[in-house]
Amino acid sequence: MVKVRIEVSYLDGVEDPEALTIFKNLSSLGYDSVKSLRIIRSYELDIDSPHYESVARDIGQNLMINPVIHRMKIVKVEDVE
Amino acid sequence: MNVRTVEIIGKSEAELEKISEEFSLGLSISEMVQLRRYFTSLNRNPRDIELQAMAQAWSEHCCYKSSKIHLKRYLSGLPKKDVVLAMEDDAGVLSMGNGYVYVVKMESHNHPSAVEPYGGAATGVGGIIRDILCMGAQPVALVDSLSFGDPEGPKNGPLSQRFLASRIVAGIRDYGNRLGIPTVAGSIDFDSSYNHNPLVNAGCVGIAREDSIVRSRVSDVGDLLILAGGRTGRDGIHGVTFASRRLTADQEENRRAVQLGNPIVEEPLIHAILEMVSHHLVDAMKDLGGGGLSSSVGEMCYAGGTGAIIDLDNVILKEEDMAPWEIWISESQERMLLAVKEENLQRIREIFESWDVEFSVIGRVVEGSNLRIRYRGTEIFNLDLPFLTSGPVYSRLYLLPKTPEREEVFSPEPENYNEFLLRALASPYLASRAPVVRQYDFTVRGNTVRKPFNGLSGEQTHSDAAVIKPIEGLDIGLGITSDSNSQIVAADPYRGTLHLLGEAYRNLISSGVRPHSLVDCLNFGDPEDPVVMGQFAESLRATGEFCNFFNMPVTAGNVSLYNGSGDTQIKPSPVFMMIGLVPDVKKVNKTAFQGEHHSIFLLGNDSTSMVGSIYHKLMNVEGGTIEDADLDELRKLGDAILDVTPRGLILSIHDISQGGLVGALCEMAFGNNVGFHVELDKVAGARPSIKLFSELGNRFIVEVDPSREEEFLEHFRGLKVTRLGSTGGDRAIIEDCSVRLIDIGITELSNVWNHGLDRII
Repeated sequence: MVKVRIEVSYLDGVEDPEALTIFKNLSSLGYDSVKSLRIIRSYELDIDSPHYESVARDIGQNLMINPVIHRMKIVKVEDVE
Repeated sequence: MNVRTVEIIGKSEAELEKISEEFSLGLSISEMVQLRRYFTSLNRNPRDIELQAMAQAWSEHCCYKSSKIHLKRYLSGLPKKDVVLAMEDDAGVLSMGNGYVYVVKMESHNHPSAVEPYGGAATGVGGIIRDILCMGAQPVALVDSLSFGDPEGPKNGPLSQRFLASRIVAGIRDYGNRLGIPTVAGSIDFDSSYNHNPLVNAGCVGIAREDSIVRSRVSDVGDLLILAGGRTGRDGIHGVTFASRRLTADQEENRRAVQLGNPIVEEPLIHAILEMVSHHLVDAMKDLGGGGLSSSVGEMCYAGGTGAIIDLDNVILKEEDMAPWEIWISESQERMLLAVKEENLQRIREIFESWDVEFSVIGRVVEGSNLRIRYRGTEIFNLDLPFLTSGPVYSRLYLLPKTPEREEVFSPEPENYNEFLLRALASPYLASRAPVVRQYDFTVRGNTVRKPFNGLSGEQTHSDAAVIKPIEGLDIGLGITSDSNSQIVAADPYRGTLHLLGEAYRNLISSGVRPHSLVDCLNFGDPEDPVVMGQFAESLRATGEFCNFFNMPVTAGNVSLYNGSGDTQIKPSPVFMMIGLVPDVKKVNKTAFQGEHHSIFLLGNDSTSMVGSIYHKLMNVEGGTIEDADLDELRKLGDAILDVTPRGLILSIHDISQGGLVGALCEMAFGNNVGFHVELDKVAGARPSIKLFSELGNRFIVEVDPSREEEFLEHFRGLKVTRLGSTGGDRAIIEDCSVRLIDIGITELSNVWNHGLDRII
């Protein structure tokens, strides 16, 4: 079995209101050294299949992202017992 | 300087077409020729920003070029009862007495939602709220009518139907809930014609004092123009030209029109603007929607008979390197345009700063009719507003639908009525809307008297309409409903629209609310197809007739054309939001059966028409003619029900619509888990399926206390009243001529009904 992480983030040019709000508040709290902030959502799945990558890609494409605004990255985290 | 002059003088028609394509203008050859003529008369070529502005102003979305002629013909001479403003500014304004007005508007956001469902739906909600706000009103309630594709249907590009539906609902939820404005009513439709083009129609109601209404026109020369709220970016460029043609599969092109919406920016903007309005600091106001600054500045000045000079350098940008044309037509969200007196600027500055809202003075109102734009010390734009804003009007070919004299279609009877009823209640067409509506906050602000559900907690059933009590200290209530039914409108655009309007009317009546005004949101296919224009014209004819009959104004509306993809057009889908008034919110009706051993009556003449019914849909039967709508009966029934409502004679009431008589009875039973036993011997219909499932006519099911039956029957003398049976027990029992058609436990029925949408949303 493999622990796989699906990371979903916005494409460049798509404005993320949540990230903007946090970034703005960081500035008002005085963290001037922070120059940008991105939010990346990640899902960790334990997949019991040698084709774990295509399973994860299929799940991501069908349920988690809209390719018009999102990009997705699939990372193998570790083998699990 | 990032401004290009585009040579169009002396160019051939083929070259003009190429220019329209190259700049994504979406203008036709004849429109390009008109531009060539105009600029030839000015003896100069246009700059790119001027061409882009023309393309925005002349798009279907902004100037209603295909629909105007029919709108004028059927809706311009309508009654004006209680109207303060109708079809003039960004939203309709109606008097509700005591110096108060309600402000109402509904708009579609179909194309953006097809490409990015979450952001498209969310910005639809944000936009409709700003339409209400720009009249100076406090938004108090939202409605949403949604049309989704077949849940089992093919993907729309990369997106599954389930993804589309659930993300659209999520977008509405997040925007409305974060702003703290309740979403109180709506409708959901499923049909395969929406597979590639779901419909998202958002409506909003606001409240204001009549003397604080702000107009969308500026006539005071010297006023400053202020742009406030969100920054201007590249997002949403070409949104309106995109909404004025059929969807394409070009993802790259679609991306530029996508926006996610930011309720955290809109919320303080609402507070700041309402504070300014209460101090009478704003002369005119308009929200920025389709066409961005280009449309808002142009329309605001044109309507007031003034011109303007704009300094584009003063617009606050998200990205520094934007070209002037991009700034001018950007459709970035959460922005408002205000016209104010210079002497009020200091107070306005203080209010915006106290709410942490960004703003800048971008120009000034001047005499004349020209709009001029300066950028980095040079004038880059100078156009005559009447030419820019008025736009072309088309009388497109239209083909009236052929309605055969009378065409009967017959559907088979189900083998087992119990099983068929379970299947119908579990189908997405009839199933409980709770999985969607429960995501919306419908009680925030604390004004929602009649919620979208009523009955016991955990058992609740649908209400026919929502009732809110918008004014502190006054018992007056507003009833709100929003309805669509593409099945019957597709079967017969004229009669179907009358029935649909009747359904909205009945929803308010059964809630105990007197219908008062109407807003239309007309979603149709490609206007260049004569069949589509025929549907549009017939549907409008019905709307005009209905409103004249009931002395009801149409106060605002929206037309969305080019809904479809490839060769598929959506079914004609007018959506109607109807608002009613009730003098005392404590005296409204309930939908759920209130107790055992009460009598059940059917009010209204029989209807045996099955065309456009869910029964036909589930049986895969198409065609047939729809019976005429009986408006005269509807008026008499409506008046009688409203007269008797304050006397408490009606314990519960529900109109018969989708799902027919049995659907209505079941919904009434679900609310408090009270069963019923009825006999259909006296209900017309040659076959049980017709008695159970026909949907048309002006029919209501009413629960009455047996001790007050005489009083009830006396009150409805002269109208058709049929005794059906009584409430009680924990089963749904329906008999016809001593044959038991239905006999199932209420909990078994409500269980499938409650979980019908589980696999979709």
